[in-house]
Amino acid sequence: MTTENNLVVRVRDVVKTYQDGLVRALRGVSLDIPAGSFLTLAGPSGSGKTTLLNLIGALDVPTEGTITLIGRDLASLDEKQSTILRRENIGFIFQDFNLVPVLTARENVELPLEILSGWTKQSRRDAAMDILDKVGIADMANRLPKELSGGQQQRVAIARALVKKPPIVLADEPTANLDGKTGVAVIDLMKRMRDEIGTAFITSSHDPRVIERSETDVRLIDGQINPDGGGAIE
Amino acid sequence: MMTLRLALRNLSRNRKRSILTGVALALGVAILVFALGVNQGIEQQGLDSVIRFQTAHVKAIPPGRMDEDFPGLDMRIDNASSLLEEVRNMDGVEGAAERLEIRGMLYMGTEEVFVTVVGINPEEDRQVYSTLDYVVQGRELRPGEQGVLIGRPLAKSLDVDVGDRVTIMIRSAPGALNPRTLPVVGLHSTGHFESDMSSVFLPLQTALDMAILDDAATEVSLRLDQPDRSRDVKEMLSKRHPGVEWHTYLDLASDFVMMIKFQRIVYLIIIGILMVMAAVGVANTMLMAVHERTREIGALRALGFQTGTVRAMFLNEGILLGVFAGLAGLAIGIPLTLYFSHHGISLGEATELANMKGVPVRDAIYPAVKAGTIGWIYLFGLAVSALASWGASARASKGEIVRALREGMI
Repeated sequence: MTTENNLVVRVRDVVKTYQDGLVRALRGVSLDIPAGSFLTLAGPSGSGKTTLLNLIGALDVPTEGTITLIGRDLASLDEKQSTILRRENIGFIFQDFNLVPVLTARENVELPLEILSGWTKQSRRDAAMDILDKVGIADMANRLPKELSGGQQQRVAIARALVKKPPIVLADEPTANLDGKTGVAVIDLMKRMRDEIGTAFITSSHDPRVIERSETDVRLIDGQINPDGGGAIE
Repeated sequence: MMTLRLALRNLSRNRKRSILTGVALALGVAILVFALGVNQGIEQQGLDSVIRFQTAHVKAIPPGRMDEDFPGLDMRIDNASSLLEEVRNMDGVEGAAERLEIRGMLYMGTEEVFVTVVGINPEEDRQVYSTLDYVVQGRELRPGEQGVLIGRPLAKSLDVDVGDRVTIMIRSAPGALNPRTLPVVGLHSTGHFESDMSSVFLPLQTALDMAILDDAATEVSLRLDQPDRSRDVKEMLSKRHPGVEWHTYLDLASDFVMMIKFQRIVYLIIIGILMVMAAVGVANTMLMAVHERTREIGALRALGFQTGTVRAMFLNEGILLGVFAGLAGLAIGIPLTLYFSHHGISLGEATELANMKGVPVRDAIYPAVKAGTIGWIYLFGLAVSALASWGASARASKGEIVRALREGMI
């Protein structure tokens, strides 16, 4: 049973418009996401998946409505506070990985810890190696991203998102640039990580293999949750 | 630390571009080191030359003599030897000399030229002036002898050689014309064309005899151990001996000092142009880097990097480029300048032109290498690099994260 206390994200009547209201990306979306869930925002291109993900990730602000993340109303935060909130509580996985090409896999994973206080050089290194081991590429820790395959790069990105053990990881089309087999392996890995660490994964995807592996999928069509799509946790 | 490490590695990301920009900046620094070295060399050499051949550090002259085009011997310092003795024994005076300058004519066969006849005591004159160090043929003057030292260009133009006899005629103090035929004992070549063409040197006693004077001079000159004290010495002597005019080299070489100031302005403009060009190169490199890494910047900001941290990353990149390029520039510029500071840059026939333009240099310029100047150039190069990166770093830290991630645009 879902209660207010175990929610990591609470979205209420969120509207997002662009170009002075001419484009309505989201039209009154409401959604509750409990801690430790594995939820997929599904829907065709332009349905508002990425927009909703960006709003939940405090990367953008809604035109109307409220979003509460770990009990904090995002509208009440200024840019600096939003940055700190992201730094401490959210891991990001991007469609095209966005690893820093001049850093090795391990250094990329250490990066989020470098901007958090309380981490020594050794503890950062240990944590990075530990998570790289969990995602199965510890032996490639000293390789640069260009020396890794797409699947391996996405594993590094997953490790980077999880290294600080955040309550939420947001993954925008994490399998879009991977072949089918690798994509499935990445989703399975994310689920396994969720089980081990307890982080809530919120992904956006229109890949049926991702959606069918998701525990909960929220179908978005034209910026609204499709009531027939099922899966909206209310 | 992290931003520095990232900046360092990012520099090698587009190696060719970084190297090209670095080379431009390094060349700018190297050219600056060399050009400022040459400029300082000219200033130093020129001023030293003016002091050593014309003005001394402090000089006493008869009142009003400087205002006359052809001053006569009625404008003179009587009892000059007692004044000379007094100033020679002052603290901080390295040397003192008296000279008697008279406008006259020099005859050789059918040739005749206007000359300035300068009576000197060789030993004491050497303490203040350097003319006698540049006797290039024959020998220098001996006190009290009947002989003359003339400039090599003058000798050449009159077809005179060492040992030949020339006639010198001056108007003596009482007003009568007084000719004397003297052997040429040596030729001097100071490198100052005008002076070498027009000045002839006699022992002071010979000149005094010709001028029918007993103890007189047209100048008493001082060389100080600390040139900076020239003004103080002048002030003190002006109070003690108000009957003569006292001047420092700064007063007497005011045209040259003005020229130095003007030249510095010209150099500043050249430096400015050079640095703007280098800055454009750095700014372009950094802007391209920001443009290429927009998605990465978006990702870093999404991960929780503050805008200031992103900004510092790019700023450090520009500064590091400046650090390396600056060091490379110094590695090129310093040895080059040092080489020419030892071997000189030959001016050849341009010496005459430079002298005519009021630049009192000899036949070669010796660039100066000053640690302070090099330090300033290096810091200046760094500042240019940092400033040029500022705009790009500001651009990197601005803009919407979502747009950066989606469109790769800031």
